[in-house]
Amino acid sequence: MPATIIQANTTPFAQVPVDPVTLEVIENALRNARIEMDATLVRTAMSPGIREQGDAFPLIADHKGRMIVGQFGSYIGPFLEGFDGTVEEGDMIFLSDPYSVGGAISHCNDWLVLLPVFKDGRLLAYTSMFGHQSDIGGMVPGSMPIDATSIFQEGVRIPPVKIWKKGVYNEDLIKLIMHQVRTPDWCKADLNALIASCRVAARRVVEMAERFGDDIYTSATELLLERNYRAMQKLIETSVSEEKVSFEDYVCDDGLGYGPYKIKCTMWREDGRVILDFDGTDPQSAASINFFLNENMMKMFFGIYMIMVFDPQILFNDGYYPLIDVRIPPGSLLKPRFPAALSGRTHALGRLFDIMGGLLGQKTPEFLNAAGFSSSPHLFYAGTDQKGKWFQLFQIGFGGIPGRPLGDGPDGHSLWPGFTNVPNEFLERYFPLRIERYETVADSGGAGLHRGGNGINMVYRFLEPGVIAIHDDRWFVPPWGVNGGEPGARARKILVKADGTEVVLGNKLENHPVEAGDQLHFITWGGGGWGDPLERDPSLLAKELRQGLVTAEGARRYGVVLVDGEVDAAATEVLRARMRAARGDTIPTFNFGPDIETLRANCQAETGLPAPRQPVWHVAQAAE
Amino acid sequence: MARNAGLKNILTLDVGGTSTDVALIENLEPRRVRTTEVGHLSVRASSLDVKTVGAGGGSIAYVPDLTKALRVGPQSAGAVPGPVAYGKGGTLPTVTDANVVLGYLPEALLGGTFKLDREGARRSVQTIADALGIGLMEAARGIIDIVNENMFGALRMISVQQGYDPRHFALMGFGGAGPLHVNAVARLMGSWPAVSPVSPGVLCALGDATTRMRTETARSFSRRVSETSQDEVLALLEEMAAQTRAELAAEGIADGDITSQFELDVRYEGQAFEVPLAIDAETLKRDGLAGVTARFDEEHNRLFTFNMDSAHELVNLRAVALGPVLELEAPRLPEGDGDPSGAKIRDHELWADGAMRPAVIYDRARLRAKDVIPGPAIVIEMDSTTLIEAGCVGTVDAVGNILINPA
Repeated sequence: MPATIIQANTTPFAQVPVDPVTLEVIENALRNARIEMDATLVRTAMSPGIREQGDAFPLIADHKGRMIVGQFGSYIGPFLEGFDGTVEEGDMIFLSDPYSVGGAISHCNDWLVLLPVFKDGRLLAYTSMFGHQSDIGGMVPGSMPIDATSIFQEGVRIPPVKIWKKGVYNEDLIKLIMHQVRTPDWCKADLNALIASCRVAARRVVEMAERFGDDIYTSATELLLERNYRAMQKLIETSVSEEKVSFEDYVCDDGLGYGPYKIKCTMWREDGRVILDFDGTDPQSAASINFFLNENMMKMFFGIYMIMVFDPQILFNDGYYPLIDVRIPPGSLLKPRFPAALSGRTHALGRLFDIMGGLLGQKTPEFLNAAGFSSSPHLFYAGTDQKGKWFQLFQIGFGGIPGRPLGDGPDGHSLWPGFTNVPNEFLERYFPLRIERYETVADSGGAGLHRGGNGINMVYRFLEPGVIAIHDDRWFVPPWGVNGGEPGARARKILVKADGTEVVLGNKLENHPVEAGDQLHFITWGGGGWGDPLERDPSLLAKELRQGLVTAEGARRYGVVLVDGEVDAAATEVLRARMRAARGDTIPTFNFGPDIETLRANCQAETGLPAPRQPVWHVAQAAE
Repeated sequence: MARNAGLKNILTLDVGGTSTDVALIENLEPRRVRTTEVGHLSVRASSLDVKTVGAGGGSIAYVPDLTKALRVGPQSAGAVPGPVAYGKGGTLPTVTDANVVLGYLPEALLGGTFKLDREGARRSVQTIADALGIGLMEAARGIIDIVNENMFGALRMISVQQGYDPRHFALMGFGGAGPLHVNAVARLMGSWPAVSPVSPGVLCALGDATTRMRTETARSFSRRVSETSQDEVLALLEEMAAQTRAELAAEGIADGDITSQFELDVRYEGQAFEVPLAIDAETLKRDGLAGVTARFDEEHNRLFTFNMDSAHELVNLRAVALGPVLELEAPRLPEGDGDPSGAKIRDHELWADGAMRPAVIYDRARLRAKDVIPGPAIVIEMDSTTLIEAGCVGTVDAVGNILINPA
């Protein structure tokens, strides 16, 4: 049953001509409004996830629910089609259930607010924002249990409800929701921040309509959508072939011993439209690494890649979505069936970016990046200290950014460029731990003309007993190199007991007990290399040796011989000639490292962990 | 500068060749932050809270083929090759070229020594007009409108986003191009008067040359307010004051000329953002730490719209030693009778409200206090150009600042 939109004034907006300059001014004003949404959120939110990690996304849509500016797939149209209720002035809708919005938010941690904007009794626009909540209840603190087998274990799941109904605040609703979570202060403040951001954007939209006129504003938004449509149409004609191209990559495991999970995407042009077909993707997991991918989200990602190269100032909007057809097999990792657990979807989300890079870049190698730190792995440490006070740390890791056309990949960074690390002083001040080491792992970045960035080794010495959880990936399948670049090193986790015993830990585990004095080596993966390592300037190797970023042994992968820290030019020439002769003339576009079967065979010996088992398709279990 | 103009709350608009810096001054005190951006790096150093956007006189206008949208900046022509109108080899149309085409920048700058290539400017802006299929003047006006919109966005970020209402602030434009844009941006903000200060093009240099000597030292403290005492805090602050005073004394400043101030960084326990609170020894003795937390709660609420029940944490202590204020007496202008025609250079034409309109060009050096300049008008001087728009009026104050208000 579609939503009933109630308007006091049902006069339709008129389509009027808008001169190009007014159109630009409105586009700029919309961009500024979006920036204000982000700024309002950071200003008023409380949790580090939102204030420091910036884990929140805004959207401003037209009165038909199409995104005009923002950063997540517009769900509003399909949502309204399925919403069995009214939408009227003074309403505000709140939800967190991914299954209610086709995956526009991908796990219950993301709380989504939707505000219909009315002016003079007419529905003018929608503003919306979602933000990651630090805890929403469920079976583990942080609410992202890697071993959850059902969404019912992952915390409070909010269907679309009205938090404000015709201007009346639903206090009981909030009371009920906050009662389910471990961090009600943070959640309440963060929710208020989401609401404040939506209201700021709503005010700006009304101001724009007042400044330019209602019809000019709505006609301008229509033109902005059309402009992106035309731009994408041209790009599709010129950049996407009718011949199918494919790319595939993996999420290493699901924490329950199955993996690697293949994600495959095939792209081709047909009748002026792009098809992105995920056929060949492995089935959903029984655990929570599933990623419920929203088709519009995928279209947005695709559009970003395409348009950014040609007009980086363009506002992403829904305009070109009709030109893209996204096909995702139901029951696959990317379209799991209810009540599949979804909290651990970050790995698949990140892997998707590696895949898009490989898919779109393979025909234009000069624009191609290697595979890189496409995840936000985390460490969770919780317990009760000697004074009886509960502590819980949620720490995000950083690693090697891929080698790229521009140059080396940065060491110890993140795919999400807005993320910042929490200072070690802060960690040691507020949590019972000491950071014993915080350094890059030399040689972990893949060799290439442009080196892949190194991963990080962060050593935590726990001062109190407790439990830890680890969510990381790329420990089994290495991040690939491109254009002659080599794969980066894989991730590892090692627990060193007080007596020196080393225990290799899995990269996806929950509730692992630790004792005071234990040290966790949280080692993240390096980025793949870009280009021919035998072409890299040898003096750079000497410099990076001094900087601790490569070792003398590692320099040999570049054919560079370092003796006492200096380049031995003659020996380098000899070594490089030998290596060139051995490899032959063709330089592969992709270097994936060993194939999956070889990786399986060598897994225990190389990683200390048993190889994951191949995922199999099975009929989904009935809801509990 | 503002104090001389009798203004206490100002938004600043410093428009240079490549970028525009904006900042907020409340009660004659600029906002300070503890983190600043140098290039692409975030540096934890004390500085003024200035936001920068890539919008300046040299910002290049272009129309990407794919989208046929009009874009302005952030790429800039800089000073070399510079705007086409500078005749130094620039070929791409810039904001300055648009201002020239519209008649906002008359033919010569820098006191007449620098001739502008008006024809070159027109030709370059014409390429934008052709790409968009609109008239030359509309294209030029569009470039200016977009750049003004970007400045407007930045100004909103430091005012509205910090809990301030721009209508309670004046807008002061400086830098080479600030006074050219200040009137239009004031209109967007609702911030009046728009002010063109004396010597706007070199205001920053003046500031640099006359700034008060200042040194500071900071110490981490990191304790709950409830777990320390006013005496303990004061003892540390006094120690730090002595240290910073000694630094200025070593620079030759007499002890009697040194002022000591303190700052306490406070936050709610568990939060990551501190709020710096300025305080002096007397206030701390009188109101104690309870006074500090009360002020923190108030400031936190203003900045972030909420308070918490959590414990307060005193994170850092800071002591600042300041040298004497340079009391620069601003030279006063002779007083006139309100009629500026003694400063008139010539009649002119500029684009306003969709057509070429008559305007007057004045020589700033010949303006007198109390002169009332009706827009549209241009006031030129060695280091800058001021535009008073149609529908606005500029009044010259006692020291020569031009205060623009709607007519």
